[in-house]
Amino acid sequence: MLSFIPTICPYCGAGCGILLAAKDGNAVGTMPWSRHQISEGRLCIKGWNAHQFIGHQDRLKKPLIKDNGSFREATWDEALNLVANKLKEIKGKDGPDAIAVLSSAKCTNEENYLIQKFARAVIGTNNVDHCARLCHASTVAGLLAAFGSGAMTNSIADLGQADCIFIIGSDTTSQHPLIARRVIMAKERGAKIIIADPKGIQLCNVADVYLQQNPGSDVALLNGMMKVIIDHGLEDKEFIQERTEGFQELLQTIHDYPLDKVERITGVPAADIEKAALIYAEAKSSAILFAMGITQHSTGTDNVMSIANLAMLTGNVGRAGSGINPLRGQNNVQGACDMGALPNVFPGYQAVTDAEKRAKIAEVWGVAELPSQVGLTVVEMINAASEGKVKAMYITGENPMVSDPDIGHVKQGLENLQFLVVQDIFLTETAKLADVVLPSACWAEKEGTFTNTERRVQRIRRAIDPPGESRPDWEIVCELARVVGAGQLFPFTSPSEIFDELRKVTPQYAGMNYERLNQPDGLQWPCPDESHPGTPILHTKQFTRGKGKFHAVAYREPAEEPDSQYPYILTTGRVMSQFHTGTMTRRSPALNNEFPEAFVEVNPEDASKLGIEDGDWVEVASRRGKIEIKALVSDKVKPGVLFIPFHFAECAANVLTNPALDPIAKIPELKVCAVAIQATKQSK
Amino acid sequence: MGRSEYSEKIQHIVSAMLRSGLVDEVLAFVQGLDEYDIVPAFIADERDAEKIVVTSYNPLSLAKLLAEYGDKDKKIAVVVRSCDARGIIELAKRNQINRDNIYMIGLECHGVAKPSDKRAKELYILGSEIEASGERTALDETLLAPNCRRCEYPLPTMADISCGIDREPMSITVNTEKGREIVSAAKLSADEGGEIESAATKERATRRQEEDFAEMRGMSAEDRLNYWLRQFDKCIKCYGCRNACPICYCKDCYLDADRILIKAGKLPPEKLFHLVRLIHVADSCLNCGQCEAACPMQIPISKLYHMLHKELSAIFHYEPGIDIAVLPPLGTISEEELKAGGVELA
Repeated sequence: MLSFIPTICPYCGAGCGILLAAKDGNAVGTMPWSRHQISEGRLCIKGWNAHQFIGHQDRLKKPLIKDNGSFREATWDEALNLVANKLKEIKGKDGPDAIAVLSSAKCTNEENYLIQKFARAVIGTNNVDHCARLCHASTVAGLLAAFGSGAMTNSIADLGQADCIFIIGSDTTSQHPLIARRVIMAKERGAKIIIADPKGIQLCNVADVYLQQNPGSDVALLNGMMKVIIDHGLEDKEFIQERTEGFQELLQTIHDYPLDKVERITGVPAADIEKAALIYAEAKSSAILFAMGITQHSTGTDNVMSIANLAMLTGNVGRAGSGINPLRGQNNVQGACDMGALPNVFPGYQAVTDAEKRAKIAEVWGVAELPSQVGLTVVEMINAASEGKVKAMYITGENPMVSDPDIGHVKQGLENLQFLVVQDIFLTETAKLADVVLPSACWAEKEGTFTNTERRVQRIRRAIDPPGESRPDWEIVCELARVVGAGQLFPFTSPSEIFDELRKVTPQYAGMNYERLNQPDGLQWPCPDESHPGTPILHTKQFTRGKGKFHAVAYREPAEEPDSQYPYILTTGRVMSQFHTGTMTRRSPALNNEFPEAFVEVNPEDASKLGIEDGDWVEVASRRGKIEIKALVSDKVKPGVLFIPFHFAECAANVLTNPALDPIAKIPELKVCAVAIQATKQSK
Repeated sequence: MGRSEYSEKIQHIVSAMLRSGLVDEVLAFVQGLDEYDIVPAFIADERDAEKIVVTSYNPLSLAKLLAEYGDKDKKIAVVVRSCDARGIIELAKRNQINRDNIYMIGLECHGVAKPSDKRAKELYILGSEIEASGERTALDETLLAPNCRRCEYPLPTMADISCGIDREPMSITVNTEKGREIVSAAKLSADEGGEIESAATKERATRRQEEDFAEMRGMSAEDRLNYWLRQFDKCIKCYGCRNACPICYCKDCYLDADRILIKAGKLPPEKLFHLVRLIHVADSCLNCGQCEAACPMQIPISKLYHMLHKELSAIFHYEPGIDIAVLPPLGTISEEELKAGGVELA
């Protein structure tokens, strides 16, 4: 008989509630969950079709082992023994740091917790990271420095109460549709909407000001806005005095950003910048939303710190309808970070270099010691693999062969490994390169928790069994630990037991348990004890670090600027019905049919100069590679700027992108690189 | 009688129907994870009948769920509000539901509230009052979903039986032969409590329709068109309005991206997207409000559909969801009607 299971959408970080319809072991439909706090009975196109890939024929059903270049099916015993032996052999010969692990923002908190524990306590390395590195590493670094906590300060629901919403670098209706709903709700209450984005977005239809800045010029834009606010005397003097430090240094820096100079750098008319600054500063409560447009830069951390400066300057932190709201891209990227699937911190953002924290966690885990040296990040792992320093990788639920910058280099790195094991639900582009592939269960086939972008920890529920012999990631990790001989560290028989351990080492989650979480609203961290109701708004009375810290940030150019050989700026992003590397959405007909293929968006002026018509095939080349792709002539990008969505492996934007890193967060500059474009064969 | 006794009476009927073998399954709303969380469920075991709750938080159209997920070969009882019952009748006309297999237990319904509107616990909305946590107070109309304020069908007279909350004992009206089977299985006597009060709700419906539609009618044709086109600019093409609509039953839909009619991946979608759906549905719109409740962009879409439906209903004298034998105008339109109102429709 058919049943409806309340659970959480597996796509973006909004964390909408869905009722999954299950019948005879199959997921047959999705409906909105009316009671759910965030989605309130609504869903986006991805949510409505979240069941479509689950029963796809391509699902991995048995472990695979590569022999002489091709895969054969294997038993779990054989596959896990091979993985265990290889990992032991490489660790024995080259040390634990010759192994690197990628955790997954698609997996549950419990699974991320186990994967990083496996890396640290069993392998003995801090080389564990995940795709947060490619999306909000700079947010975590920037907000940690400014506020002491790297997470979204406010809640999704309270955005509807804002009097001004400033959206910078977020295509909210496409990527976080149910958060865009709150923008519409605020607008209909009379709020002003400011948008800054190098590419026109749908919310521009409701914007009061739209600033189309040059890719990579955000610091200059934000400094320019702050100068306007200071010049008009609109800064919140009391807030600055009582709650912040470092204001004088900021003042000195922003005086170097008069509007004529900012106009030159950003390409945005001075009058519009002034208008935006005044609207933001004069509103009673102003909220900022941002996403990859801010973070994926070699100046990503600077960009985030500038946003924090703007909010503190006007006292827009710690109240409903205000705050800094980084919109996290993956269903559980917040949780994967919280769980310490990062090379520099244990669960709860506790530094691996802190001896006291190390000792405390080692005691809970029952191990003698834990590695103290900060491990490698995503791009550094690939570099180290390419140089032969990292010899084995264990990749769970990630697809760097599509998601990471400079794919040619990624491939070379992964092929240079002595051993690669990939654990996933489909045979991804990355899995194809593996020596062993372990089939895992998807979101509808297991219990666990996801933490959404507003720090809300929510239960997901098993609606059906995993296909074939595939198993939930947490079971696989426990089993692998047993085969390696570390089973005593992983005695778990359920995700709820794992949660009971992780809350002991994660202070923000200390007050949560499965019983408390078994209600529609979940709990927002920090939740320090079992009587604590959770925390909808951070930094209400004081910042997590005490005083909020202004950072004087000067504008730096992107790592790669257009020149005569590569005269265009390429910026990348996503489209509304595809998700990330397309592993799931390209196998969901209703989603794939909306955007079945890649395109490069070209301004009509450039198109006519280049002799390119809508639908023509063009070649786009950078210093790293070239792709053939269809042109979409559109005024959403300005002259000199091209846009390509990165979902499509066959003409992957990331063949072109620049792996230049932000020096602090180590996030690559996926949003700006220099390219050339030329017409190839005509369409039709 | 209060809400909880009303729930118990309904549970009793359902459980008797399962026990006697009159039906194989029941589709109804049950309580989910808390008192505001009301979710649909198919029930086959009579012991599970006690999970059924009657509150005014009912989300989703049971007609849509029945057509989409109900087992076509089974006899199924559905605990319906008027809009569910009317949806089932419309879907039966379109061969999506076999009416012979369906038993409808009708609930008195004067409107629903959003579960996120936590003004009232254990809520039941009546004509001019609400019951919350067992207490009766005057109804604040802002509690109601916009479509419910305009609803003129508080009593499901088109269901097999209709049950009224506001009588002691519960009033039961038998409307069909199947209704007689239900009362006999549940060992109840029909027409126990007499007439159900509906005047207040019908008065409200008239008043609210006038208000909502007057706002539109006050605009010039051009302003009215622009108003809706601006609303459609917010559309993110989630297809939620279509997915939630009990009248939108086609498996193969003109709006789908692979049908070419509407350009794939264009946002907001072409204006035709909404107009096509409007043309396909407006003759039979039930004002059930599912489209608007599902819209992530806050488009007041049920107002457009309901208003247009009222215009068409006056021309074609068609009242959807009442009589299974009367087919919708779109399927039965005559040459003469194509020229109605001086508009050449052909």
